[in-house]
Amino acid sequence: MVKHWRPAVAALATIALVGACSSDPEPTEEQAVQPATTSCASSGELTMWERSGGNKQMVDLLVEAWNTKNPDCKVALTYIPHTEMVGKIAQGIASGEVPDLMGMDLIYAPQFEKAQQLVDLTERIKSWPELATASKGHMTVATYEDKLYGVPLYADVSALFYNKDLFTKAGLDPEKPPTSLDELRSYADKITALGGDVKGYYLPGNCAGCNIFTVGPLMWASGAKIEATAEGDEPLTGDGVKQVLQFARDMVKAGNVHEGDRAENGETFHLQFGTGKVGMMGTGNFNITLARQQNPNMKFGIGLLPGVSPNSSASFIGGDLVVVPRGSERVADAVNFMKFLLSDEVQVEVYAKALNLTTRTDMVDNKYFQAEPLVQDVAKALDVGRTPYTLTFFEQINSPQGPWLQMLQKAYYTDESLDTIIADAKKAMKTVASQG
Amino acid sequence: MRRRGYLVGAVCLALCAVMLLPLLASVLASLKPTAEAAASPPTYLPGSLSLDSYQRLWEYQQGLPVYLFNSLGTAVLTILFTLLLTVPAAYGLARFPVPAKELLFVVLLLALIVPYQALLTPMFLMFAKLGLTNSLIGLAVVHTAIQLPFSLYVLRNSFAAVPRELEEAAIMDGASSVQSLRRVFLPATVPAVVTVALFAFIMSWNEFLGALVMMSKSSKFTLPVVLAAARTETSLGGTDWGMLQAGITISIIPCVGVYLLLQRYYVSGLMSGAVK
Repeated sequence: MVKHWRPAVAALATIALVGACSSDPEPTEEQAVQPATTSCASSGELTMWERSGGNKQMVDLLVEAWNTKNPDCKVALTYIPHTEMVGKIAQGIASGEVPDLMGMDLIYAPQFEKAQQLVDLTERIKSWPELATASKGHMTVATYEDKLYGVPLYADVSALFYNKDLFTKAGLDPEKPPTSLDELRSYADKITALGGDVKGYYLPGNCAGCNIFTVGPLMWASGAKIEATAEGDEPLTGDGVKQVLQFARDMVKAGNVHEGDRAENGETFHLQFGTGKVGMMGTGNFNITLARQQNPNMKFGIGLLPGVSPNSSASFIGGDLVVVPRGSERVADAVNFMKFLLSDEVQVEVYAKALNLTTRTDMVDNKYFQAEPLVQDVAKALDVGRTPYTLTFFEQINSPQGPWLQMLQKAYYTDESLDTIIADAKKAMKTVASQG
Repeated sequence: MRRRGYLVGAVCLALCAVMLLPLLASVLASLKPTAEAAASPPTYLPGSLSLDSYQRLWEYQQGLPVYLFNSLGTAVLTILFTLLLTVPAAYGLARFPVPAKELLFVVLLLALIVPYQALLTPMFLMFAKLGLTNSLIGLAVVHTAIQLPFSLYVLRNSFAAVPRELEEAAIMDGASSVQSLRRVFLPATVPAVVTVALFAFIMSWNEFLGALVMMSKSSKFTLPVVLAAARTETSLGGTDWGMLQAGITISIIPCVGVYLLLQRYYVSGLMSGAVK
């Protein structure tokens, strides 16, 4: 989830459409007929871009595995600073200087698909049996008007992490994470009551992306809908929106979150749970390894992000897709790389072995996850998770000045009427969606 | 009198402390072990010293030496291009009867008003056609273009400040105009030339946006672009603070080194451009 992109680079995006209309050739018919394999069909280096970020280790391993198997056709990987990725892609497509394939934040895929800046892969991949079990969230955003444009590269899912040590101290059962918002609230009260630096819960106060990742699912699990998919679509529907905002406001008022959380803009979000001073927190699977590095002695568990009614749950499926930009000269081999990523062997021996989520749900049951209950727990989120689908995700949700974050900040830290706050956000989201 | 001396000393020390504290904090943070660098709330002093952060940065993608070479190469080329273009131009504008030269000078300075970010898009498209993207020379040309107006301004003014008698003496001795540039003007304006070179170096070394736009292969990235990529730890914008501080420390070293080395010229160079 890109937090923001710089206006100057964003300006480059505006030239993309103009350029895309005139420059790059469509993939040739000849390329379209080759059936995909898990190894390279031609030789020569394949260039790939990927946004920099938490899954560097994972992507490095995947590329290394491919390179070992295909020494004549290595993938040369370039990490682009993640806040600049959208602009950089648009600029590349406009000028024809594109990589052969790339990993992109899945959330922005629909807008690139709509602008016809990615290569339509439907004919090449639609018959793959692996796609039936590929992460649904990823496949939703890889599809535009029934055409397929990519496959999952990796998955970042959100879940509720809880500190078992603090649970025990507070007299709670460390094997039972909360399964409803009410339980979440009462557990948080008990943990905060331990005193000292310890707080029961965590709310990132200044990070739009962190909130859609961890507070959004609380709303979904309570039956609400958040973003406006397109013009005319009603955003923020369902009682869940107000219920979750009320829940969060009460949490802040009750002193269940640290004072400093208010300034969190995402840069230290991943470090919070590992401090051992937060009882429960919505965060992502990347936090398992990080928390262990930070605090090797801390015991923790993972549950699903709950909603209002007992045993309801949801998750945000984020992560990256592998796609082929228009103008790529190696479409067939890019597709082979995708086939390779989805193969049983890579799913188990690369993804699972490194304790990262597999991108196919039928691969979750493997020897590496069996030895690691935490990953199994977080993998459950893949089943209840979803990925928002909109062409204006950045403007509606992810922008630091956008309606989503403004709504949350007013709800968390002011006493304004929640109905007014929601109505304002609705209006702003609808306006944005109508311009997309 | 003595008491006043102490007072001035104390004020200077306090000022130095304010200026140097962030630098020191950055260097210290870069030496913390990974877990400590990520501690929240952060610690002031490292509990133990470690080169973990440096090692991670050293091994990032193509390896730090490649990026240092790219940054240094671009900076040196930028200095070279800037001096090759602005020395003759400033000499001409300061000393020769060029028609409408005041107007010409002002037009050349106009580029200062246009933010270079606005020029990057057309430049990039043109460079893509010329095959100058992903090349240190191409990036150095961009950096030179950014640096030209300022350099021309400084050099022209210092050339104009050289006493006419010196130039006349050279002509009497039979020097051509190129010879008098080399033998009279350049030695007399060393501080200004050094100033121009220093500014070009520091700008090119630190410049981010142009390098990001022009380069799209990791083997061609410069240090600021790599730092922006390497520091990202999660897809939510989480930062690897230790590695970021290590990168900052490494990128400060050449700037401080060059500055200390040429400080004398630098300060008098600023003056020489200013008084005329």
